[in-house]
Amino acid sequence: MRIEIKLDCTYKNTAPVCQFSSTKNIITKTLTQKNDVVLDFNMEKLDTLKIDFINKDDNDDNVVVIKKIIMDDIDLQHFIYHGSFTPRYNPEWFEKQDPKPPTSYSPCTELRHAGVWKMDIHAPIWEMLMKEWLNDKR
Amino acid sequence: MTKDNIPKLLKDAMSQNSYDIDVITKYLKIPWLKLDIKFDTPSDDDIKETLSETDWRGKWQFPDNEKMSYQVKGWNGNIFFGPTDFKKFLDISSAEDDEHTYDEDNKCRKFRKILNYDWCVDDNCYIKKQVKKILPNDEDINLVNSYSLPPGGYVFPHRDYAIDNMGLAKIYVALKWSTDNVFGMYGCGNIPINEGDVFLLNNYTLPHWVYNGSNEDRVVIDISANLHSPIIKQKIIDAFKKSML
Repeated sequence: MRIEIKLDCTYKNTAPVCQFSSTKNIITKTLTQKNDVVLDFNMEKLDTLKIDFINKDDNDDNVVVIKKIIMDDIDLQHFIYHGSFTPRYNPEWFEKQDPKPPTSYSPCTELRHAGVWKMDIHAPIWEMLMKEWLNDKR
Repeated sequence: MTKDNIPKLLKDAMSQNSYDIDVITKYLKIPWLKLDIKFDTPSDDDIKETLSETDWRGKWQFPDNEKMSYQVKGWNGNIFFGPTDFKKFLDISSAEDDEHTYDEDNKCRKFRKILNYDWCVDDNCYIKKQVKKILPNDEDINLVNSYSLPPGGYVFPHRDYAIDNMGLAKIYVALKWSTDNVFGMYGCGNIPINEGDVFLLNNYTLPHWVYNGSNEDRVVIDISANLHSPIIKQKIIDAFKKSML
């Protein structure tokens, strides 16, 4: 399945590196300020798309922002906010926090710590979106 | 069989149970009901009157209008009955719902008792004459508008949201509807609409979408009204009974 992920990054010297994965595929990319990452993943019917921000540099304060995800030529629209981000906090920083920050965030599309953003994916994508609309409790 | 010794609750329920418009339209979440209503066949001029040069999404101040515009192609509308001071109406409704969570029908229903509403066309207007036949009292009307879709036009799958747990609400008149037009309702197939049909639609429960695959404009009239008004109420009950046979 073709997966297109648009990401914006901010950094000074340390360009963010992200690992994109599903159950059967994994690929690592070094990002620039504007990115259009195109993946060809063999997705399971029930799968999880993961974006692991692996080189957070607290001195550089590099940040990755997920702007848009297009799967199977279908824009996941605002449903990307159903994804969650589980940070791997810098232990030194974490110790200083009171109260402690949460284990995970959802909605979250700005990766300001190292960690894994993930979203469950159900094929076919069009039907996944219909079910998201169906269960939207707005 | 005697009914003399049965409990009062059961006796009353059996003797007094009837059709409740709120149960049919709000609680059941039926996706659509075809109503036995016929509008007169419109002339070409009548159809022209339903079209508008003004951008509907702009008129209603949809948020992120440009950003989200890829989700609609050619979809437009024109208003025939609604709030007379449209700017004031938008100011009030936007203050409460700046994300446009609720659809146009809902917004108009919500402020019906607060603001002044009236026809914005004269008495000879085709739409006005047709609507008056089923809704003679203007107090029962919240909004009358057209929606048009050119050949190749579409609206992406989406859901509308209601302020008061509505289900069936929108009186939908297929004024100009060639074959190859699609109104899809997720999990229920396509609504079996033919030109001239009048449906009561529930656009609040299921994702739905429209596409005009024909070579002609598709024009519908959308009426938001008090479903307890006498003619409409009876049409709904008749349609419900028929659909349950």
